[in-house]
Amino acid sequence: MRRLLVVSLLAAGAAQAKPPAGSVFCAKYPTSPECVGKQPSCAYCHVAPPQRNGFGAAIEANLAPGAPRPLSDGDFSMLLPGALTAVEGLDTDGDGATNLVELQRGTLPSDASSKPLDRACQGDENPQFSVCRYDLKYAYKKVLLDFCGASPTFAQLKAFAARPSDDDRKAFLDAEIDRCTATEFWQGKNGQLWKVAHPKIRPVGSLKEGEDPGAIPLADYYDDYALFAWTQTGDRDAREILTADYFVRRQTNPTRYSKVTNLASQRVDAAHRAGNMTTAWSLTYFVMFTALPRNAASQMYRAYLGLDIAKQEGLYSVPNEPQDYDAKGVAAKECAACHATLDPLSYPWRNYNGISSEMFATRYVPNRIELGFRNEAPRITQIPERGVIFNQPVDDLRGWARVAADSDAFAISTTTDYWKLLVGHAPKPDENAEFVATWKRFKNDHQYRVQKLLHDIVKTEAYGVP
Amino acid sequence: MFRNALMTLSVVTAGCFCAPPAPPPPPQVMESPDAGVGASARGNLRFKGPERLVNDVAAALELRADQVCTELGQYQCAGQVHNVALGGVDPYGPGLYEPSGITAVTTPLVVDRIALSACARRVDADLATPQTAVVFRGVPLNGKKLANADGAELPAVIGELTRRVLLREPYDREVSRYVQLAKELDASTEAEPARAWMQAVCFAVVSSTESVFY
Repeated sequence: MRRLLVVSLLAAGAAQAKPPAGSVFCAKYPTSPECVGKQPSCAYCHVAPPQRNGFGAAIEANLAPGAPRPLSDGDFSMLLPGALTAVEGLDTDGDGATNLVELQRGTLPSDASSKPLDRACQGDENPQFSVCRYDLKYAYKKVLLDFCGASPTFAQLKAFAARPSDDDRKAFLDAEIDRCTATEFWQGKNGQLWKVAHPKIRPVGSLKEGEDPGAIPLADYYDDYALFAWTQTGDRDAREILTADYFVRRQTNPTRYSKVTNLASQRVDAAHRAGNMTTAWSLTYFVMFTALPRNAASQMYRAYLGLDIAKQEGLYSVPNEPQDYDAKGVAAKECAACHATLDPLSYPWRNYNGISSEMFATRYVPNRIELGFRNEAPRITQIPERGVIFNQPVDDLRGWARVAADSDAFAISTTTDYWKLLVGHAPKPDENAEFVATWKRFKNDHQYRVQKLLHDIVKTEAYGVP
Repeated sequence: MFRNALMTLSVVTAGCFCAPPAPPPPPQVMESPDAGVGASARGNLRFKGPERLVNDVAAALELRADQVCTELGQYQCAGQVHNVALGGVDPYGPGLYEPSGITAVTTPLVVDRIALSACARRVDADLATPQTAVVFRGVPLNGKKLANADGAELPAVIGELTRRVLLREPYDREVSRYVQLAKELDASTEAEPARAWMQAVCFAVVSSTESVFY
């Protein structure tokens, strides 16, 4: 019985996901779409760690066969490139494309439904659409539906077609995007921008304070929507959704947003504000009663950087972590693979109070842990305010926000939000080249202006080729 | 002065009650595409969802958005009752923050419900006040029947409806099919064949795949 237990523990250790795998993979395949501005998640090789998918199992069979498990991270990193080479010629998911082709094209080598598509134009002429190239008339209809919420009329469509040149039609499309993004449909209450924001803010009607109050009014998340809409419109820097030290007031009929220094509904002082991460709603709902609010950190990581730790995405293990200051058992092997990233990511929230104390509700409180949680665990007051994000140490949450906002992950996540909204799905492998070019322009050329990003997405073939 | 004003009023009044409404312009009927028509390489067809669907139906049929469809006469079909079935979100109550991304089993039923409601309202209004009819204008009636199913007025209103809803001229196959429907309804036991034809044609166009996807 005891022997069986030892074998089980060894097996569990042997099967543990390896956070260095993503960086080793990308060192070997730097041009893979999985590696442009990101790294493959654990799910690339695992169903859910420790269980491997077909591709992961093939690698495992070629990774120092016969050597005792678990391999050290150093040995694993050294041996993984050879194991990857060994499986390049295989087709582990049986979809007809070798693993190497799938790695190069950005499809999944463990999913038969994900394989490279080589689209070709087929059939005779189509009287309604230019099915093999960018169709301006098709794009015009889509632009009005996507940004204004209604199709053009027959007369408007004829007038568009009658414009003197394609250049003129393109200029008109740009003007229509700017006109429509000023409408209620785009930026009003429950409009398209609010829809992009819902999964980030995660409102709960019963806890709403202020306008449209719920049964237990705790905080007004319409402030969060207002800041979101402000940062995503006009000539404004979208990164301020994470870094703003100001608030935004919403006026109605028609909807107008204006920047303000303070709002009665918000309590964090200006020196400790970090955009929507420190609003009354975020602290109420994501910090709530917790000493170390891992939920707040993981939600911001997911919502604004597109990295879901629950799906083993965005793991950057920090040496000697997790320390498990709050004695939750997260140092156990099964937990440590994620918590070595998550816990240092959460430390900068240590002084942001949720609703555990009415006196300090939704404020920055120096020595918060010492004041309110000192008896929860023996080492809990040792939780530092310094944290780590993307392997970069940060002094506090504002430092966290700066690194996050300037990261490729933020640009990719923001571009993905609008790509999904306008194209209708997350970027597909055959759209990857356009997608990468688009987020890079958003970051470098447009300095994070969403308005310019929208124009760029409309110009892609993914949007305008029927 | 008073006499001139009276005469003007008489002329205007006479115009309102006596001049028959002009039918829509005749359609520039297009030849129906054959099976070999060029197919989309991407196939990225998107369902309009609640807001766009209602906005488009309302605009095409010149109804207010809140007139398009209500349940029990007071709850908006798309915005409230069937919002999620139409791919909408419901973030504040059940916490449905993102649309499901796929159409549900009940989605076609709701689309049909909305199309039928809007078309019934448009047809009712056009029949009640033919002088101000929007879509079905200039269609001569013989009691509850169409006066002439072979006349030029039917293709004209089919063209009007197609331009309003599908943003194009009708195909020859569509015109002949809808005219044939008028004849079949006329020959049936339908109590109000003209109204039934108008509703059916409107419903067919508004609930078509081409109308509800983009």
